[in-house]
Amino acid sequence: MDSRLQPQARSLHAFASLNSRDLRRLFPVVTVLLAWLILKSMRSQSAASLQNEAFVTGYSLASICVLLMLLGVRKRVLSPQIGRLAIWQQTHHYLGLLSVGVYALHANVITSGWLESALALSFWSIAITGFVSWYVNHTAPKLLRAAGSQILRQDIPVRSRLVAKQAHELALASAGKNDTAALADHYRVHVSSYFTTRRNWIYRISPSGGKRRRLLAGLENIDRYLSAEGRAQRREMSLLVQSRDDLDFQSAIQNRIRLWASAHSWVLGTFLVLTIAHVILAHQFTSSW
Amino acid sequence: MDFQSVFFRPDWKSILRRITETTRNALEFAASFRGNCRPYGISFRLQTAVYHMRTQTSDLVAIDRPLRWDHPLDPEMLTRDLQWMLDQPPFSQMNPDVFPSHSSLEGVLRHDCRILRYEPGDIVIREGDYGGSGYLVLRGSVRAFLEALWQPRGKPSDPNHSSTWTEWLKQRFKPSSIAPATFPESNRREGSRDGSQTAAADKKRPIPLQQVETVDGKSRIFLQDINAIIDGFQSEPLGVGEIFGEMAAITRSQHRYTVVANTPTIVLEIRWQGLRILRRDKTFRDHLDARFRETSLQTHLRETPLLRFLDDASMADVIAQTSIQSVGEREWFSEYRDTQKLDVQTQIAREPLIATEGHAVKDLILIRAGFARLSFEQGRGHQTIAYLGRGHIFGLAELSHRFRNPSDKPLPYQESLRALGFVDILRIPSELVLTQILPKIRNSELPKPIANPRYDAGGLVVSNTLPQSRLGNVQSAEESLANLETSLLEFLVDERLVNGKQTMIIDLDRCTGCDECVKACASTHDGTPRFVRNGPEFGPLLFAHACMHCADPVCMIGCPTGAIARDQDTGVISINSQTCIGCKTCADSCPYSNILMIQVHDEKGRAVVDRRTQLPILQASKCDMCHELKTGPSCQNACPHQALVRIDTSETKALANWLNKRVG
Repeated sequence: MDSRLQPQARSLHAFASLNSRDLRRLFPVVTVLLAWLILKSMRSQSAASLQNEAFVTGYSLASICVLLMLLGVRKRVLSPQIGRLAIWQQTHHYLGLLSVGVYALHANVITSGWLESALALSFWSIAITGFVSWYVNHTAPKLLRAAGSQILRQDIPVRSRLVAKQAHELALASAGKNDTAALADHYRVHVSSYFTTRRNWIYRISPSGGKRRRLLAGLENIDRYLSAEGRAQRREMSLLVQSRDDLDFQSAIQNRIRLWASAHSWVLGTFLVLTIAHVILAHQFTSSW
Repeated sequence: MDFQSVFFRPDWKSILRRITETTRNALEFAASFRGNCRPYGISFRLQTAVYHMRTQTSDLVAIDRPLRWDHPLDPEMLTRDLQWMLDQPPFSQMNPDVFPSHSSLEGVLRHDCRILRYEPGDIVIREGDYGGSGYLVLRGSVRAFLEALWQPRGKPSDPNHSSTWTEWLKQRFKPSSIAPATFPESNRREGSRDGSQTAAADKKRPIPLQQVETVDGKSRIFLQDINAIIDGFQSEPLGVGEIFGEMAAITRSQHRYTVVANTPTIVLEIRWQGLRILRRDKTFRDHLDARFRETSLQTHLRETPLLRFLDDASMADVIAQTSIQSVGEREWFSEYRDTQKLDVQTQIAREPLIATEGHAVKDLILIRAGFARLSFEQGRGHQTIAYLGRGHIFGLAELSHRFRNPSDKPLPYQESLRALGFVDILRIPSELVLTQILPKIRNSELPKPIANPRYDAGGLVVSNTLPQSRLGNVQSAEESLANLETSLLEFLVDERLVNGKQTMIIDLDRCTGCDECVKACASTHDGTPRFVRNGPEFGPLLFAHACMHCADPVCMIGCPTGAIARDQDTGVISINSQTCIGCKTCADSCPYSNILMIQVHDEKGRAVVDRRTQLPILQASKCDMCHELKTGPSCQNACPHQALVRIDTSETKALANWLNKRVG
C-alpha cells in the first residue's frame, strides 16, 4: 500500500480489500457488538428512569440463554430440520459471546450470596467449557490428521488389539534365533506392556510423544545386536509402535472432544435450576422493575 | 412329590419371562415417546434395550424367500390381455425357445410389462426425466419431439436444491404445480447463427402447457392443444411396433426427447429387467440396437451446441456421415475390480484407447455417454489433464488450428483419450467438420490456435512440458470443466469417483469425528445408518462410502426385480424394500462398495429368516438422499462443522468451486 496515504484512507483501503469471506466473518462480530451496545444503552435508560436496570439485563441474559439452549433442541429434532446445524452452531457461538458481555452488564464477576455465587460459578463453567469445546473442535481435526488417516472411534480398540497381536507374533518369530533374539528379549522387557495395557490418565488428557520416542530410541539401540533380518524385523516393530501411538492419540483427541462437549451440557442442568430460583427470588425481593 | 411342591414351586423361568415382557413393554412405551428425536440419546438407548430384549426373548420369523416375480409391474394384468400381447408383433415373431424356463416370454410379459392407455395429448415420457423402461406402441401412434418443448430451468434437477428451510417453507405454502422437465444441456440448437430466427419463431410457436387431470382416480398429464404443438415443433411419428424410451433405460440416463400420444394409443411399458431378457431374441436385439444407434446419434447431434448453426441440409449430411461407437464394457465394474489391484500405469495401459496422441486427426469425437480420461505421456507414464463426460468434444483444437491455418501442415492429436469403463462416442469425419461445421461457427467460439504444439506433423516436439492449454483440446457444452490439481484429478479418475452425482466428501480439516452425520442418518432410517464414515482419502478430503447416485449407476444393471431404481425427477437412486429380494447383485456390482446387505427385521424387531433354509433374509441398503425429508440429506444438515458436503464430481466445476470456497 502507498505509505503516503493518510491513516483514514489506509483503513478505508483495508476495508475495501476485504473479500466476501472476511465480510461474512465480520458481520456476526459487528452484530454482537451492536446488540451489546444497544443493551448497554437500554440499561442506562432504565437506570435514568429510576427503573431496576437489573431486570433489563437479567431478562436479556435469560432470553439469550434460552436461545443458546435451542441448539440442543435442534440437534435432537430431525423433522423438520430447521436450518443446517452448522448455522445453528455458528449462531450459538456468537450468542455465547454476547451472553458473556450481557452477563458483565448484569452482574459483577464476583458476587455475594451463596445462590448468586453458585449461579455465577455455573455460568462461568458453562462459558469456559463452551469456549474450550469450541477451541478443541477447531484444533482437533488438524491434530487427528497429523496422526494418519482418521479412524472411527469405535474401530480403535479393535485396531489396537490387531496391532498388539502383530507385535506379539513378530516377537515370537524373532525369538529362538541368535540373529534376532535381542528383539524378542527387548520386546518382552520394554515393549510388550505398551501394546497390552491402556495408556495412563496423563496421556489420555494430554497426549504426548514422549513414550513413543523412548520406545523407538530403545528399539533403535538394539540394532547392533541384530542381523540384517533382525533389523528388518526391528523396523517393523518400530512401525507397530508408531501405529499404536497413532491409535492412542486418535482415541485421546476424540475423547477430549466428547468430554468437553459433555461437560458443557452437564453444567447446564445446574445452571437452569439456579436461574429459575434466582428469577423467583429476584421478583420476590424486588419492589419494582 | 407333594402337593405344595407341584403347585407352589416358583417357576423361575416363567417369572423371569414375565419380568422381561413387562420391562420390554415399559421400555417400548417409553421409546414410543421418541417421536423424531435422534438416537444415541436416552431414547436410542431405550430402543436398543428393546431391540436386544426382543432378539433374546422372541422367536425368529420364518417366511418364504422373496422371488423375482413376486411383485409384477401390473398385478391386475388379465390373461386375455397377455394372450393378445403374445399375438402382437414383435412378440408373435419371437422364438420362445431362446428364453430359459425360469424367464419365459410369457413370464416376462406377465410380470415385467404393463399396458398403458393414453388419450391424444397425454405425455408418455418427458425429456429430462430418468427412464427405466422401454415403451412399445401396440395400437395408435405417438409423436417424439426432436426439439425441446420447454426451456431448461437454471439448474439441473438437484435433490439439494430445496434444502434450506426457507425454501422448504416456500414450497409448503406455494400452490402445487407440475415442475417442468429439466434438461441435461443448457444450450440447445438454435435456428440461426444469431438466434434471432429462433426468437421470432418462438413468438409464433404455441406454448406447450402441461395440464393435470384426474380421471377415474388416475391422474394424467397432457399437453393442451396437441395439434398446434405438433405443428409448431419438429416431431417424428412412431407407429405400431415401434419402441421408444429404451435408450434411457439401457444407458440408465435421462430421456432425450418427449413423447406424446397422438391418437388414442395403447403402449406396452417393458421395464428394464424384462427388456434385458427379451434381448435374448436375436431379431429383437438387432432391432433394438439399430434403433438405439440411430436415435441416439440423431438426438445427440441435434443437441450439440457446436452444431446449432447448421441448416437442415447440412445437419442431415452430418447425421449421415457420423458414426457411433461404443468403447469398453457396459458392465465395466467387474473388470475395474480386477484392474484396481494393478499398478496405476498398467491400469491406464488397459483402458481402451479412443484417440492416441501424435496420431493424425481423422475424426472429431463427441462423447455421448460415459467418461474418458484425457492424458498425455509424461516420462514413462501418463499424466491426466481432465476427464470428459457427456457433451464434451475432443479434437476440436487441432481441427480449429487447421481451419485457421490452412497452409500449415495439420497437427495430430495433442493428447490421448481413453475410455473409463464404458463410453459411447460419435465420430464426425475431419473433412466434414472442416467444410460443413467450422465455417458456420463464430470465431470467438472456436478454440485458440495451438501456438506451441506438443506434437506436429513430424512427431513429438516438446516432451516434458504440459500442453499449452490444459483444456484447449476440449470444447465443453456446459463449461463444466475447471482446472483441478493434477493429483486430485488423477485420484478422482483412478478411483472412478468421476461417476458420482452426489458424492459425499468430508473435509478432514473440519471433521472432528463427532458422528452427528452417522447418527442423523441412522435416525432417519430406523436406526441403521446408510453410509460408512470411511473411504478413500485425498489429502484432507475423505470420499465416504455413501451412494454417489452415479451418472452411470451400474448397480441397476443386474437387479432382477427393478427394486433399485432411479427417481424420474431427482435422479436419486433408491431401493424399494418391498420388491428387493436380497439377491446381492447390486451390492456386488457397485464398484465403490457403497451398498450393504442388512438383515431384515419385522416391525416387532424380530429377525426374518427363510422358512426352508432358516438362513437370514437380507436386503440391500444404501443412501437414498433422505428423499422423504423435504430438507435434503440429513447427514449434510446435521454436520455442525460444515465438514460434510454432497457434490457432483462428474464435472470438475462444482468440485473446483467448493475447493475454492474451502480455501477462502
